[in-house]
Amino acid sequence: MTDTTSPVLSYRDFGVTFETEQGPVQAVRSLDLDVFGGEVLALVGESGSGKTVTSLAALGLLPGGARVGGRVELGGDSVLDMAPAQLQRLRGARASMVFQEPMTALNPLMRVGDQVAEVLTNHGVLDRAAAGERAVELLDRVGIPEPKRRVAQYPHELSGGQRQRVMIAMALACDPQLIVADEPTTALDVTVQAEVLELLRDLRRDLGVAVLLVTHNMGVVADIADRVAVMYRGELIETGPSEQVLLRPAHDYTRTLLQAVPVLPRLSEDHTGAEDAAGAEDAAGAAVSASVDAGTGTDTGTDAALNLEAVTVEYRGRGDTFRAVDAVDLRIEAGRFVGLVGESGSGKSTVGRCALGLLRPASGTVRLFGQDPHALRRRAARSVRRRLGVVLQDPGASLDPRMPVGECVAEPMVVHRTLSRRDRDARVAELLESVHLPASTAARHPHELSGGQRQRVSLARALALDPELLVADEPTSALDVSVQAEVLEVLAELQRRYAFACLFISHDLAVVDSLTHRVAVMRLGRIVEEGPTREVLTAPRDPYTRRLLTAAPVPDPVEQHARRQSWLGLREAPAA
Amino acid sequence: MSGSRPDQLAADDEPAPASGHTPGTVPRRRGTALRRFTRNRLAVAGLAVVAVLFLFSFVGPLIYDTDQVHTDLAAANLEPGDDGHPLGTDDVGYDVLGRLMVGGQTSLVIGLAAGALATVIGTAWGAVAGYLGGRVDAVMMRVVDAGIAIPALFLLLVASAITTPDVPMMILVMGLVSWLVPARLVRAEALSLKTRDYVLTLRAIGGSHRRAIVRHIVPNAVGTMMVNATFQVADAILLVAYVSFLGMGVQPPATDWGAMLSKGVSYAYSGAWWLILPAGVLIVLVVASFNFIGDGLRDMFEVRGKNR
Repeated sequence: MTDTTSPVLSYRDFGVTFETEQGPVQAVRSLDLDVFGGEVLALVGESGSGKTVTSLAALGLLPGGARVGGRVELGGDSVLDMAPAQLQRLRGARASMVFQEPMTALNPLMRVGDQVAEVLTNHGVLDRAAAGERAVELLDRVGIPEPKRRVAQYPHELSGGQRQRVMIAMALACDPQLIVADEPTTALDVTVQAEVLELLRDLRRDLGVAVLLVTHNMGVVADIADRVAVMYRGELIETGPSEQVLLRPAHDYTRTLLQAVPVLPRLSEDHTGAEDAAGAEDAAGAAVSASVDAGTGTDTGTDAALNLEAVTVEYRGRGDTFRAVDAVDLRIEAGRFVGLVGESGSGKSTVGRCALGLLRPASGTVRLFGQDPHALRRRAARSVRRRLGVVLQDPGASLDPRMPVGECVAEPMVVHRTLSRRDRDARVAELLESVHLPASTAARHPHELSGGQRQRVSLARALALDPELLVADEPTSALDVSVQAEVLEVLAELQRRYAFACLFISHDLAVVDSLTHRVAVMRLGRIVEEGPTREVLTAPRDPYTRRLLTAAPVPDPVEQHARRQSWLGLREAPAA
Repeated sequence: MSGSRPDQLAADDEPAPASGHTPGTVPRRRGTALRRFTRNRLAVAGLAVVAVLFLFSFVGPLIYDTDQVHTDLAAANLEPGDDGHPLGTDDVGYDVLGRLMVGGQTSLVIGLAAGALATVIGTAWGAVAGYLGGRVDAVMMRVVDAGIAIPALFLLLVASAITTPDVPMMILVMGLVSWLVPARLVRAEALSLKTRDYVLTLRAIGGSHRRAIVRHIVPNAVGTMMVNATFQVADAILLVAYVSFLGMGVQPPATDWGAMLSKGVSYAYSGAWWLILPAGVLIVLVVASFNFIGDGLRDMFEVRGKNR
């Protein structure tokens, strides 16, 4: 598959330094790398490893404050020495780019067909009329249904996956030798991600284009890459065929990175036929949950930390109402971890908001520790809320940037007037230590901490009052895998120590697997499947759960190949 | 837990960001905000000019002592340099340099106090309206719209016509007409701040609305507030000058730079440039300086805003 004669793209002793307020920062150090025609080279690394800077250099797109050293050659021409006019001709025609965020990468005021055609007319390849026809062909090529109708639509009328396909069509328009794809599927749901990766695989095979794929997701690498280059702190530490790097990594860092990726349990193959046995599923499911509940010995109705019954939430738009959550039942026994998974727009966060009493359902009942948070008077409501802990998704917004960390952590104690000021400081130190942060962190401001440290501070704050129920909404989804592994480990350790119940909301099935006792899968506002975590993840009864599971890539190229085949099989089968 | 945590990674050994791509996670020392302000040369110059003008107005009279209460018609309309008056005298014999100092006290005090009052009222109003939202917000903002529809100058003139204008009255009136713009700005800020995770978290654990507004919304709107406050001060000084120019400001023997300008205009055609030029230059200087300081503060706060 690799054409070893001459590389499409090659880096030689490439380096980038940024001038910052703290002095120069070396983002990339003496990097040597080749990308050959018809191959997918995955450039992997965590945030700040320099992978994006490296990929942007291929198109001469480095930001203003960057000092560059070494050589970058595209088809034998030095990109770094090109004049702006030359670079303009090169971009799009010989090398093109697919960005992460398909919504912001397309112009919302322009029809998608015109945006694809624009690439062709800009480079003078075709005139307007011919470009318009070619745009239809291109949209058809990237698998957008009814391309004739779609060319006249605006980006907001397309789904996220379709928008990313339009981006790929634009990248393909002038038959480039190289496509640089920077986290092309990170903003997409796993099932959509699988589709887009499938498309990239087709294009590579049919058109022989080289793809430089920048990603942090080892599963994506296993799925599509021929070769892998691993970057760490600005240096290229390992390069090789993906099978070799992923299965027999030579470098310690690669090994750590791979170990940090949460792994899904293997799907049991004999269950593929079980979907047909839908009639038997109720009995089986009931038996399983009954046995688990019996094991914990908590079956008195009022004891549940959280109980949602037929909860429905509606958002009123212009004239029409949108049902975000539809008759959801969910019960969390004291001391149990329950995962709530689903793709974006499935209503899982809305359920979380309901559980926290931040949102009033249109119908159905919410019971926190047996009481309705909305029906209570002020004092009683406060005493119920005292037993809650909250960790929300965005590490950038979960802590008040103007408050020192110590005050953030102490806030629940201040709100509920527990402990004296001095005891509070001691408690803050103790909490910070329980999430493996030094007590001196209390004096620092959130912006001085990394994303993972901030999420651990959020966790410390959530635990300040020894909560009986923790609601965690995607607490690790914005973090690098190794950092995510740490945060999850801390969470698991604290759970063992304090035995609180937890509603853990996530889009990542593997994360849920490592933490929770039971899991509920949501789709379009409904819970499609609920049961003990292992059971649901290894032998899903609902076809949607099964598709979700097979679409999630795993960082093992051999197993991933098998998963892709079974996903393709499921895709062919008509699913709701 | 499926043993997925790598043992090699100790708790505080997260890979530090090595590039400028993640500004939020780069540790930043406290001094950098100040450095960002001082990098704006005009802002530093503005700060220096304002400091000099304060010294001139409040410390100046201690060194350069003149009678600014009793008229002296024998020494009226002297040219600069005559009889120990470096900037001459006006039509009733007040020393112009000394008068600029006294007038500066009035202008600066009214400007600062009115600016501060407007900012405080505007921030409180805007933060409450934006945070509570819904009907309360609608009603509160319609009040602001109505207030903006009435020209501030007109209100000031009416107030001056009804009562005798003195310094506290002018501060009050000016503060009460100029809080509307900061109220709108802070409300817009509060609308976005109230959906931040830390505010939601506080509400979920039972924190009061008051705490959310006082501890989270207002401190995070401080950048917007401070920048606007400097512009408010400049506007207030200019407004005092307008009103005084129209003869409705503080009454003699008290004065301010605008009033000096207004009195001087009638003699300007007979060549008495020293009655208008110094006062005019000082008004331009102080207003420009406060605007530059505002720009500098904006630079100082804006980088933090990049943190999403």
